[in-house]
Amino acid sequence: MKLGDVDRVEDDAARRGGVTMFRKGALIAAAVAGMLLLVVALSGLLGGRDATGTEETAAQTAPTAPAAQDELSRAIAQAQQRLQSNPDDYRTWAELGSSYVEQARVTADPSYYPRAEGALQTSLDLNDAVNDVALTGMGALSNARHEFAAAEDWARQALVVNPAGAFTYGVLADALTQLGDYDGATAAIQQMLDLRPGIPSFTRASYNLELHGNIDGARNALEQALNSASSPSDIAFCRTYLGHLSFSQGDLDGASEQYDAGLEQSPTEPSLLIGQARVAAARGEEDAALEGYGEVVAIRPLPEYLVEFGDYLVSLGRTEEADAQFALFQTTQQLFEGNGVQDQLTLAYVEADHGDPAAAIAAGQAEWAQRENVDSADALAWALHSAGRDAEALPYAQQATGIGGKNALFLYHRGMIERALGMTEPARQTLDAALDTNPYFSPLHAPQAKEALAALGGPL
Amino acid sequence: MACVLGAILAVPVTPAVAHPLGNFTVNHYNGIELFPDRVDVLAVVDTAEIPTAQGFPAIDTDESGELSDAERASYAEDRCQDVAAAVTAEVDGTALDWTVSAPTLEAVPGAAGLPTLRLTCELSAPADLSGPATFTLVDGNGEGRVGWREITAVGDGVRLLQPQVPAETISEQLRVYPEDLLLSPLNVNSVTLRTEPGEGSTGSEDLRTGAAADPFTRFIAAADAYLEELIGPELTPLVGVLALLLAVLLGAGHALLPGHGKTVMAAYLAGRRGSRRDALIVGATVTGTHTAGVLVLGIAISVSSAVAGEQVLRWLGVISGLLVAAIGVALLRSAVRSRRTRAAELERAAVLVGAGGLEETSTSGRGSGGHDHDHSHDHDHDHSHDHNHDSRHDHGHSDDHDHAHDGGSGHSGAPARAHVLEHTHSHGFGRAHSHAPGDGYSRSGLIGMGVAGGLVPSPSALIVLLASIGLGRTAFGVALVFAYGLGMAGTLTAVGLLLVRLRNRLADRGRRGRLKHSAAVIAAALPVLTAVLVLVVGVALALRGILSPV
Repeated sequence: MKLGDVDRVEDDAARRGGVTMFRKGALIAAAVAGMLLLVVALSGLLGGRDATGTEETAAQTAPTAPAAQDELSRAIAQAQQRLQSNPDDYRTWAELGSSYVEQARVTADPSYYPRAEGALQTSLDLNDAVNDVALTGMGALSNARHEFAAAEDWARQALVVNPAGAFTYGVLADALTQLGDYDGATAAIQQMLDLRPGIPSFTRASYNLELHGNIDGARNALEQALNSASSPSDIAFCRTYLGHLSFSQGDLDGASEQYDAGLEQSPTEPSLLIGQARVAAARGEEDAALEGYGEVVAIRPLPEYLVEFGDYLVSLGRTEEADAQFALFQTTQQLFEGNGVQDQLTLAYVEADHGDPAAAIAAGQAEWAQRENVDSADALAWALHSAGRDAEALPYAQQATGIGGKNALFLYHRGMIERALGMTEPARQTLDAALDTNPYFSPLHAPQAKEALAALGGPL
Repeated sequence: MACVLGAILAVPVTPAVAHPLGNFTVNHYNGIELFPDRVDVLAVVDTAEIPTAQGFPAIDTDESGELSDAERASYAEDRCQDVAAAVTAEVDGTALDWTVSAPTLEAVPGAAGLPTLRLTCELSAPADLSGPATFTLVDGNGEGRVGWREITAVGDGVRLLQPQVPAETISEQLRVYPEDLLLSPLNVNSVTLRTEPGEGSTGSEDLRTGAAADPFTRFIAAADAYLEELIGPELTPLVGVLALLLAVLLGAGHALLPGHGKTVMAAYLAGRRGSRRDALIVGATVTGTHTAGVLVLGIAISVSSAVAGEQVLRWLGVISGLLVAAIGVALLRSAVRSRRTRAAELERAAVLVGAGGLEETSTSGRGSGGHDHDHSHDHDHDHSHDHNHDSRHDHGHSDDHDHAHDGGSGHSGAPARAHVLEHTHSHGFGRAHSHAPGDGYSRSGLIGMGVAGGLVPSPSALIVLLASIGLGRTAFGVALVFAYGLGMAGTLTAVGLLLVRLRNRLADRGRRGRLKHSAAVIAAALPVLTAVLVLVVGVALALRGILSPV
């Protein structure tokens, strides 16, 4: 009996302990599981869109998907895989198309564009009623192809379907910025920021603030974007624009620092390499600048890079080498024309600076017909100036410099137009403002700006 | 500064182009052929219009505007040397030294009447592939440039073991670039090939269908794909029902796939308790947790791309593993403690048994796993004689027991004794410790197990749900996921019940004849062994989650 008693007592005590332990364990387990599900749900509702802002699918559900180098590539691979077994999934088609547009930007590989269009069109063919993701993707694609009016149209269609699409507001903001509707763009970016703060909205906000002359605000926004960046390409992206922002204010050291930090993440990114080349050129480090520009045009012979290199060579008096770059630029134009591509902006500048004023005006007007923004206004003004039509040029130059932002190149163009019109005082003021903003704004034109200012009697 | 403008808006200035890969790309192809004594590589570089224009002056040395045969030959020779220098290859760590032959440069008409260039170089190097070897190749040409990069590999007298590159080129050696909407431009600039003497290859790794896996896994993968197709374009009631049934089957199948620690847990649970109700509790919890988990994750994923499904799955796996491990620790503690307390209990039981005039001890004192509980074997033996009523008594007993524990009331002396007498069989195996701590799972303990089992959503259920959402059939997708969970629960319960029967068999054997002793030993050690097993499985699951490559 006694044994039994002892047994029972021990038994009960131990059992209670055991039960308590199990209860605790279960409670903890339940709590952990609950927390986890909550976190997942919340991040779904509140979480930032991925860095680059695509409506890409993150449905990384296939456990056997081959490892891709980054999230975007992985999302693309998985969407492709899903569509192989389920080709009628309009949503995945839309996400894949949007991811292709994004991948084209990241890799600069334009062969993603036809794929993007095909995927988005397939999605719209499957569902053209309620498909804001595909409509937004089409808008992004149109922006990438410089078809800004079409992009605005796509974005507005998408907003009818889903008035809370953050990325749609981003596409709309890009289109409106390019079309010169800056108030509309500001409103769209504000919507995007409210809906989904993140790299895509911060970088857009930054550019908007810069356009309106709020440099500190622009820098803050970029730093916020940088803080939320995690992938190398996103970090490099933010560093690139922080560097460009510093350079635009004549801060060479600050710019160089940002470019270096960016190149640590993405060692062959041309937009960072050209930033370093600009800094080297501004510092008079000829060899480094030549090497840098040479590397950039070798890796990515984009028209504007070729022209920038050509301008630098001209500034050094190496006209023969410069002509080779301009000849290559003409080759790209030939190809663009063959492909039916609209981009006359760079052509207007090249013709105005080095070629035929009439061709410059034609290009400037063609661009202005596409989009009435500060860039095309400046290009057209400068083209008109090259033909001696300064009276016509002035309103465009004023428009290009009239929304608050201080772009040294635009100010220089306006100052030269004012000077040609005999408006000495405004010209002195404007040229001084240009050099004050960034004395290194162009290896070719900055010395001319200084010369002109001195000839007019220096700063007011 | 147009580039600043364009780029900050994430709008590349790069336009759409007619050349499939853009007019400024440089594209590389390496066709590898492995022989027992050497390696050959056919290296092709396709240069699009703009880089061709950039390089043109260097080729056109007489500045005639045309490329003469001599100019092309001399340029090809130089360039092939550069190409070969940038293609680094090793066999088992020994670098290969290329010999270049047949350099050719062709001008191919491109877009807008502009030429493109096609450079072909044949590289060859001696190498010892007569035994098992590892061959690596890295093409460092055109780094930083945009372009198609393709590698193929075949063996002649050398067998390739699961090569990760195909044998055939999909671009006809950079002549035709596929524009398949579901195919990204290739970007393969390195490869590692394991080889052995022989012919052919052991099949490239088709990861998608798990071709390398066992037939069961393959079957499940195929069924997965079929289910995804079913919920596709047209959903008739028949197809709907069929899809639901298939989902149940898939759930059942997936619970059996390797890596499902939940099966082990369920087996342990049900095997130990043998109660249908317990099995049901676990099954229901698994179903509920799994369904809820898949739904929450699926909705989160389809709402936001910020949720990286893979990561979430991985961490859920870790948490599930830790949960299982914790349960294992608890079980182990209680099992060890029970063995200790059982000594006392058994003495008491022996006395009672003796009083009842039942069979007396026969194997006392030996082989009880190092424990000095002389009576444990008697006990086992005595209690297993009434095998006819095994399962009925089992269940009834366990329920009673459960309630008693829940109510917090201990056994009084008399009922305990009566209980021992009436249900002695159930103490024979695994039940001997039923009075000991830890054996009596509280319901929350069972639910904890079920939660751990259902916490990691099955990827295929998730895919099915996402596909359904994508097709605007969310409700049907939810039903499918639920069916999936039911299937899983069914397997777990069935495995558990199967174990109950096995257990009883073992107990029978123990009672009869020769195996009696060893069966008794196993019986005595089983709680500890199973607890250890649960612990190990939990740790393994957690480690797998932590270590799995991302």
